[in-house]
Amino acid sequence: MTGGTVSGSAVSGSLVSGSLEANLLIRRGEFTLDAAVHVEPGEVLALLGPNGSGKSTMLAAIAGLIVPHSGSVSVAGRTLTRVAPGTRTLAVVPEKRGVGLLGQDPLLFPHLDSLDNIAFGRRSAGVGRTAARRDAADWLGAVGLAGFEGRKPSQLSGGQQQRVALARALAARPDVLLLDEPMAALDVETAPMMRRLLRERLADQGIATLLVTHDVLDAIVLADRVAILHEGTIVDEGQKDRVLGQPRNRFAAALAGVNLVSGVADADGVRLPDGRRFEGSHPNERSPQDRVPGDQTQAPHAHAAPVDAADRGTPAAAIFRPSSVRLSTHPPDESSATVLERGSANCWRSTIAVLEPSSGGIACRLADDQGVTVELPPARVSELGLEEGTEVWLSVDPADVTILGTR
Amino acid sequence: MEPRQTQRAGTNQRAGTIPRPLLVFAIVGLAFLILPIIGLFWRVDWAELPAAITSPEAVQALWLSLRTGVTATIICLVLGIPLALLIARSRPRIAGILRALTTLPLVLPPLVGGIALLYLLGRNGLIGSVLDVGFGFGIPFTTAAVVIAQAFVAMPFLVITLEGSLRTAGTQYETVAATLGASRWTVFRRITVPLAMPGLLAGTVLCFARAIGEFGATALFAGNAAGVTRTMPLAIYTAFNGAGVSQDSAIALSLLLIVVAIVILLFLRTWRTDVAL
Repeated sequence: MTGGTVSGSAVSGSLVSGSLEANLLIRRGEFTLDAAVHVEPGEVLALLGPNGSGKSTMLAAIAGLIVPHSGSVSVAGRTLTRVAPGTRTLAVVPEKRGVGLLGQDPLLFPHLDSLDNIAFGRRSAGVGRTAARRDAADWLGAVGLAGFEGRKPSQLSGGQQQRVALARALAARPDVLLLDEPMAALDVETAPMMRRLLRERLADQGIATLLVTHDVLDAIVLADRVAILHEGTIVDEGQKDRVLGQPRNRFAAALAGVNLVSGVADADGVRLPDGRRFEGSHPNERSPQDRVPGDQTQAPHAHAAPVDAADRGTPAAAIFRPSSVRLSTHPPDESSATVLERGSANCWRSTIAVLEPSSGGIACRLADDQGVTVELPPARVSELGLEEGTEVWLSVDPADVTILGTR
Repeated sequence: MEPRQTQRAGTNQRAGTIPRPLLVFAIVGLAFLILPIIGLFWRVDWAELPAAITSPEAVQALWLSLRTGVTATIICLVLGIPLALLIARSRPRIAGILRALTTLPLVLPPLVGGIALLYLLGRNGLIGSVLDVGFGFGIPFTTAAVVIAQAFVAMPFLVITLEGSLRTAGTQYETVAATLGASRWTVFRRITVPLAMPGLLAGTVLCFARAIGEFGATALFAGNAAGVTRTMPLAIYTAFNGAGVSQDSAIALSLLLIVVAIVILLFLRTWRTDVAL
């Protein structure tokens, strides 16, 4: 398979390889990872989750660096790991799995120059030095670093090192590529370039790619499908537009940058276990993403479509953006027509648990068992004198709320 | 990898100072190490030096020292590199035990080492008796005994230095190499050894220096036969104590050994600055 592909170059048009199938149970102290993934050749699956959700553990098991307590890993129908009670444990060593790994640290071999780093995989496969280095030169060009052949890793910037590391991983012709937060260590200027490069090169390869990230942007740019990992289990999975546009639980919602509170469907909204009610619109009419934040021109009732009678009592959720929540440090007064008219729906009282910076200003996380966040401009936070522990009254316009069944 | 600390402009200058009284002790300490060597040079009879150094006894002893020293170092490399790797890759508890065992010859007085070797490999020793009865040969008081004594005292220097280097290099590069399809042997050859090279070279140099300076264990286990087991340190001892032989000859031989040591140090220094990893 040395460069003998249709295009004549090793860089593009690799043979189509098989799909990745992994079903793993791993225990580490209190933590249990119990998750299954399936990635088709040429597909990128993003495993999204916060730190400590078990993402890297999952990759380590697929790469053969750790043996799961039970489960299996197979690529193109070839079993790489199989651990089941009553049978002999099978665990192919990492070097014979054909599973490439690119982490957030490029880990280029410090004693080898760029070319020898990239050629390492081919050389290990028994390819001669000259051929391997010629192949590596093609790869160096493919990551936009032609002319950097003789540079040692210490003579490259962080972004350049990561590009060489990508070339090195792909030049080894893996059947499956695992990406572990590949942009996490890059600065804001180099990360987009690396992301774009990954997108282009992955499209060439036609290999199954599993991307692990806590950054939703990585998933949006690179992935076809998204799986949400929370405390060791996959809580949602599907096409990225669906998972991020209509999240089914608050973990997915948090990653998508929206609030999601769940409860039971009632007449025309959702009733939460703590008694709060939310009314809003249905996704087929309008999703919170479409709406301009702070748009007050529309009547509050316009999109509050009732839930079908058949759906009453079934699990449902209200979704709204952190920036569409209105926050006040005083209880709503008698003159607030909206509140009087709608009773307690979409209005509640809480305290601020944490203030933290966010892209749109300052995020106020509420002391709320459903994890609601309110986003405010910094000037507003200062004006209201908000701090951790401040008691606040909140409301959200029904037009800004989407009601979804979450069965 | 350990983060490297460098003093940059704008950082606290006082961080680099030491209390004055300690400075005095430091200077006394340095003088304590250097003055004896200056004293030795002071006593050298420069006119007689060339003759003393090129005397057949001196040349014979130097040649024997180099031969045995190099052989012992090669043995230490062949056995010590795998041992260092084993310790570096063991769990902390086991590594601690292995490291303690490896360090034993380092803390043991060399004379005790010599006696121990004699009771292992001597004619009545644990293994020596088998060799004597079964194959009819004895190790003590041969050049082989010199090499064994040297390797015994010198190997810990190589193992401990290299082990530290291997531990610092860590296993993450090895893991990456494995995911790129490299077999364990390829990883060892192309990643592990090159990354531990500073420690390997420093350890080898220390090991060789310790081997050619070896006296106690050699004297007890190998004896002091001219041309067979009389290495430089034994020749110096003989010259110094020997009836009818001038002490000048001992001084000249000492000088020769110091020159060898300085050459080794320079080699280590130039190499280190070359690499500047």
